[in-house]
Amino acid sequence: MKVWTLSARILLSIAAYVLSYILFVCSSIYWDLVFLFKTQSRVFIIINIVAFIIIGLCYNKFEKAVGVICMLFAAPSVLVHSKMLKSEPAESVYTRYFPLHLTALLFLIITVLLMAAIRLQKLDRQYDEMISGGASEADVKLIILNNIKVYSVFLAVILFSGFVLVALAFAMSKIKATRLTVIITVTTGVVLVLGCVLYLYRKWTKK
Amino acid sequence: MPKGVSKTGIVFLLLICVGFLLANNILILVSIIPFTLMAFGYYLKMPDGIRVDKTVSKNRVTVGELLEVSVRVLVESGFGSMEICDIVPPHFELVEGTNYCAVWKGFEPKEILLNYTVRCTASGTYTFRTTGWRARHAVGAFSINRKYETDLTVEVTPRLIELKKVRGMSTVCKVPMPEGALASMGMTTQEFKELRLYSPGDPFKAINWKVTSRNLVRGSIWPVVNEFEKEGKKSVWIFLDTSKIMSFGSNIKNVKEYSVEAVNSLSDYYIKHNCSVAFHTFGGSDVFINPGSGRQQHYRILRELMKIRNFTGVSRENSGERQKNSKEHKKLEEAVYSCRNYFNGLRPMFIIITRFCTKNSEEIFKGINLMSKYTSLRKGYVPSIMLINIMGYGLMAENENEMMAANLLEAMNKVLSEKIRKNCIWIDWDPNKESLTGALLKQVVG
Repeated sequence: MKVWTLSARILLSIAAYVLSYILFVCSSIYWDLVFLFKTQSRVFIIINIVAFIIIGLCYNKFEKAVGVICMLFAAPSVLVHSKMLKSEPAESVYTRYFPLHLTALLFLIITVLLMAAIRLQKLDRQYDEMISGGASEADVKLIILNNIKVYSVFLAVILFSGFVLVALAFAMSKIKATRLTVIITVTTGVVLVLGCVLYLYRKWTKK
Repeated sequence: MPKGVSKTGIVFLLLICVGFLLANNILILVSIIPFTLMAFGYYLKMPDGIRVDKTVSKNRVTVGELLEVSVRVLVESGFGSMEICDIVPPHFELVEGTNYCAVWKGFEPKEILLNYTVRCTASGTYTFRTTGWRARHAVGAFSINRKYETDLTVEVTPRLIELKKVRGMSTVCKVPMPEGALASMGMTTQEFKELRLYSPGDPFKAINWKVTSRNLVRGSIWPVVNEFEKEGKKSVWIFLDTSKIMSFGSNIKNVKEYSVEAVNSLSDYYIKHNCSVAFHTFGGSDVFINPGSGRQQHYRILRELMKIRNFTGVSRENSGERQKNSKEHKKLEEAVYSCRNYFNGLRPMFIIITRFCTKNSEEIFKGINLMSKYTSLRKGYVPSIMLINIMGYGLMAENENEMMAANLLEAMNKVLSEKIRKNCIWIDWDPNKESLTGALLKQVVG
């Protein structure tokens, strides 16, 4: 059981790392580094060695280290799509970035992969705790498998709703709307989100 | 609100605030993750509605006996994993089964059965009070800990001496009995006491005719009768050391527990042999039970023995109070002296139960000297004083080297106690190697 969960954790972390590295490659910081170190292969080696040293130092919680590194890699690509930053004059810097929808999808996938890896690590710890407590191995395996199934459903829901939202945003950007319609749509969205959050918060605090 | 949920809420708020501030659609999109987690967390309930039903096979057991515990847990609602643990009181050893289990609770109600057997290793009254459980959320990284409490109590009484099992003339038990049995009331013995004047009601056969005729010559016409000693119950005094030196050993095997077992066994033995038994502690607590006989007396002693554990080394008092108490603790000599009025007209047998070491050697010596004054001292016989020395060093030994060290220390104690051994019946009892019965048979019978 522990062998395949460990392999799954490693695979998920690698996948997240690769995707975030792809996002990083398409950022201006990467090209600045290329300019600094002359060749792409040199930058590739240096960045990966530094990343692996950090991951190696956090051997026991390597998923969290990978998570931090992935966020650092993805941050330039994600933040560059902020309207606030786009208004800045250095327009030429952003020419190499992925389009907004693709970046959003990639970032969502990276986050989901990392969440899955961290969850597996927590389940591994839970497995050890229960076994050392004296629970039967069959029961613990059943618990872990059921937990994985439920969490997979949760991740699928997130991914699906993420895709739907990205698709909606893509479709909406094609529609030509008046300023008033845009304001009404944004206000409704914000009110809806805040309402849901307040509702959930109240439910939780009442509990 | 669980800590995990508040953390998720904070992450959500941060993402959405930064997303709005920077007008970044990706951050706003990603904020749906903690938001969905909160929603899942709320609508997917953790296992709840738990009912616990706990039973034990017996409410009264003796030390070393097995006790079966059965816990039935019914989980009515919720979804997720659960860990259930029935907390076993200290001094109990898990022999069979498990008091912990982890289960997955689906959408249907679930019944969980925990059956296990424990061995009681120390006397006292214990409560099987708490059954705890932890329910984990199936998606969120949070859990809740709850417990169920009941007032289920189990009384663990000390073991009894197993002398009935000894058969055959060669091994007939010769546990020392008190020599004196004199009292002012009861059956007449053959032991002459005095001559006195006849009083109405005296049998004619008691008249001493020779002395009466001599008195007649002197002018006294009143007959003279022979007075004999009356038979009363033989008296046994048990002195138990409750000082800190008795708190030696592990939680499961300790001198204190064996001393309690010895008192219980010996009081039961002497009461069954129609003796009057008194019980007194020294060194720690000050428990005194007046001399008495019959089963009622045994229960009285037993009741006090069950409370003894609270008085000794494991006491929860702070050091200041402990120091104050240690000044008030009675020594063996003082304990014997305080009971001197009870010994008048009797020749009681004294039993001391202690762990002999350098710290209490002087105290024991003085105590035995004082006891010798109240018990018979016939030429060639040792006085009716029996000392049961519980050899405790072996209880802590875990390997061969430690065992050798324990033996060496016991040998040193033997040298130290040589002087005292001559004045009493000395019984060395190593609970690791033999039972009290074995020690008594080996050392008293010889």
